[in-house]
Amino acid sequence: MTASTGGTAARRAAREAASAKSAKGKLASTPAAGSNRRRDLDPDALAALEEERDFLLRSLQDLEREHAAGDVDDSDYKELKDDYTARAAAAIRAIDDRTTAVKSLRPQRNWKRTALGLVLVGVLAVGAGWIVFRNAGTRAPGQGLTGDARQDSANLILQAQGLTGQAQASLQAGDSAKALKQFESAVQTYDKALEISPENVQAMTYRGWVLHTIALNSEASVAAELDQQARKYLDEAIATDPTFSDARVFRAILERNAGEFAAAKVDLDAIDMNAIPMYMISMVNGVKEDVAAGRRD
Amino acid sequence: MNLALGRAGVTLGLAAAILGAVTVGYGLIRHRPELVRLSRWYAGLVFLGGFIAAFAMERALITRDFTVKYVADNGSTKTPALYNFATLWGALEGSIILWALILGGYLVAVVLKFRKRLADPLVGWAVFTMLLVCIFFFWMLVGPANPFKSFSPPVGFDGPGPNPLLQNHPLMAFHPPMLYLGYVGFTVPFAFAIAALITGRVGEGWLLATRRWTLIAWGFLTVGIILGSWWSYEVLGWGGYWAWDPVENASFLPWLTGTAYLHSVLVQERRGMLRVWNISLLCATFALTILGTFITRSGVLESVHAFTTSGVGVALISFFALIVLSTVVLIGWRGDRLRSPGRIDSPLSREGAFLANNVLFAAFAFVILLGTLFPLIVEAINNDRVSVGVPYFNRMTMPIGLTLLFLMAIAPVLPWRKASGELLRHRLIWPAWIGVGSMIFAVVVGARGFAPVLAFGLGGFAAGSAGRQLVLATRRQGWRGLVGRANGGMIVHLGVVIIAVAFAASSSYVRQAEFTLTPGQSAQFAGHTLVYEGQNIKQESAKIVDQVLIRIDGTGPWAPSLNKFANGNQTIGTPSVRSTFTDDVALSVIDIKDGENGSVTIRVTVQPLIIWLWIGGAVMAFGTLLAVFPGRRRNPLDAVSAPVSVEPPKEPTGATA
Repeated sequence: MTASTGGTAARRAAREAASAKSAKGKLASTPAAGSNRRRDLDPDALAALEEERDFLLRSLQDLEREHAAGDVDDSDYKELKDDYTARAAAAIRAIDDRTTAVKSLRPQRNWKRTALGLVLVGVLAVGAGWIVFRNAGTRAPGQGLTGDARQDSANLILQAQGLTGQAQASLQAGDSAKALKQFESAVQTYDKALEISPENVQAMTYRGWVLHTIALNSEASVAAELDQQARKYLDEAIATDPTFSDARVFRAILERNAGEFAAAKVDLDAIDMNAIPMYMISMVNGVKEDVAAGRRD
Repeated sequence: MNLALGRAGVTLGLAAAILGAVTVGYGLIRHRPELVRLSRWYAGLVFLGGFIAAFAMERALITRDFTVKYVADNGSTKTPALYNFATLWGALEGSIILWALILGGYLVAVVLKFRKRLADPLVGWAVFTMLLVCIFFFWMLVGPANPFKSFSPPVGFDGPGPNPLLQNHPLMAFHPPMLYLGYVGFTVPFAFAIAALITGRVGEGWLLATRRWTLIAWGFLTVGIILGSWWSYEVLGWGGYWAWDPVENASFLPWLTGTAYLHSVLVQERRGMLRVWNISLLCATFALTILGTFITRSGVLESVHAFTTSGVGVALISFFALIVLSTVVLIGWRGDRLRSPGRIDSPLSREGAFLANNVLFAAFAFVILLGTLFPLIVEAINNDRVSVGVPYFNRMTMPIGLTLLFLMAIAPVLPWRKASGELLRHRLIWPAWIGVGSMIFAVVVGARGFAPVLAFGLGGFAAGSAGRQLVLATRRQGWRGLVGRANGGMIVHLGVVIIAVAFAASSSYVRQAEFTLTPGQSAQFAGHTLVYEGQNIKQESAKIVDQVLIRIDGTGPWAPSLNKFANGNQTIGTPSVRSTFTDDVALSVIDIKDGENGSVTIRVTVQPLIIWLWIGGAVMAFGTLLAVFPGRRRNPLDAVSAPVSVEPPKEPTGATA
């Protein structure tokens, strides 16, 4: 290995090639030979050779120019040109040798394997896309693009109310499939609120109300089941807080729609009209009129 | 004065970056090394420009100079000093100043480190690439993200101050700079990767030159992410630390690809393989830092259409596209040279394990990128506003995470090239027993559920494996057995195991409830007794703090609060957390009812092992520090441990030279 010290990269390469030739058959199988070979295949060494080649070719051009300008005499010109040419040739030979060696050692591209790999990546990408599609839900107002920080019950109820508003807008636009999805998201959001705050009458009440709204837009067989669940939540809300008027208003509407006018009247009479918001007053009055007239919605 | 100074700084930085890039580029193309060496002066001027801009903005913030629009929008006379200082990175324009300053710092550090090799084309092209990146960020400061716009404040004007959430915890002063040191730090290895592609020196030289830079950037990014989680836990009050929201994902994506690179680079160093992969990973890491900045800073989170109205969004996405395009073109150009002649001999080898690790990290990054971009794509296509929730991320990343833990246990004991079953049995027996013991212990103390118990077992297995390597290394080398890339890496692995176990426990066994209490009333939850003692109202310079005093198991009182900021209409909560080595009880105030017997509604979140997340993060940071520290030096010219197989193996003759 002493031959590899000093000189240009091309000369070193030439010396190494010569010493490798002389040791042919003797060193090839040793670890040192493998290490030499790896060094031969090093792209950095190849880049150094290319750099040297470019430098020498540039030097030859400079030499021609200086000779033409009369700055270099003929004998120096010849000596320098021979030297540059020999070194450039050595560099180019070394580059060719290395390029050939790299090509010969490079494993054949296995097209079948490549195609299989591409198909596999494609299948995985499509699979992941399908999974993300399945897991994507309607974004509630205030909700982020991804993830979900655990919300407190008040925020969850706000979120669910936003989803209910979106669902009603979808219904008005005639997109009942989208509306159903948004109503379901609202129900799930109320469930989350109830999970952390099981006695939250607002969540119970509005969960029941959303279920009844879905029932109104469903077939009779499904609607009965949904109304039964809605009633359960409204009953629970009133049992937890008998003064919470919203629950009584909604239960009265449900009862009116079911033709249970006497039960509806009891709930309507129990409502403190001073404690309900303005928009609800007209609603209650309307229901009262319907109940008095024995009229379903 | 501050406006003029700031504008001068930005102009100086931009001019120096442009002139530097032109000079260095010309010197490189025309083979004029004396011009390339001038880069040291240009680098200094770029840094000086960034420093002057940052200094001017800090001065404006501290002196409450409301003639600077950024200060008028984000400063306030009532903001406490620390948060006032941190307001520099509290909004978009200021954070770009910080980015430019750090970039200038890294540029100077590179030029100083490689001062004797500046004329080397590899270093020259790297500096040129960094100068191009500097041009982009200083141009942002002149154009779409100009922080030095003027404002005419009326008499008695006071700004609103930074977002209340950003002045609610001291971690805000440290988390963003750490994150930016990581983000921007990846510019250095990226620049060298581009330089390697341009010069054709795609061997191992550029890897060795940038090894430590990559580790440092990765270490900062790790610390930044951990501090971000901690801040989220201590400030946001939702009882968690990681919600897979887009901002978190944006910082996690480059971390994943960077981590994959730190492993796969070892295969290239040892075996000369995976060259295309490594360069691609590094360029992807840098590109993801820009994509992350686009996601968090362009307004795209509010509406996918919003970014087109902000120059910042268009600039960032264009820069991202330019990086991806130029990288793809350069890799295509050098494709032939990047193909390595070797191949992995056996999947049961160190390089086989690293390859598997890389596939998993790439899949991890893909899953998160897809989940993060999917709502944006859907909204852009059909205007539907969708959200990808936590279940997607948990379901998809859990199996990948568990497999990575398994690989973390196996890989360190695998030799290069191939391993025998007997060797594996010998090396893995103790770690495996530790893993089994961990599972049994977890079940005995009450852990239930397949995934978390498996995570505890694999965590024990991986910790045992890392511990074994460290014990062997310290036996051989004494204290030096703890330093260097391999040994420091094992300490990082221990930190990762601690975090993985804490993450599994805290996310699997979290319990949360809300209680409405009157003074003196108590509640029992998850084995803890909470007693509400009363309220305490404090007037601070920037806010009125309404504290709710609660004793937890007789300790405290702990004081979660609602803060009403003087200059804002927003009331935000500050949680209070009682941490122990076994669990955390986090309290946050949801509602304080005036005049109703002083009743309050609080949220209680009990999660086990939370504190170990921060301890694990500290261990990772310490391990990275030890990994950066030089270990036992190997002559860079020494042969690699495993020569490339060129011919069929024969009996060695013993003659080598």
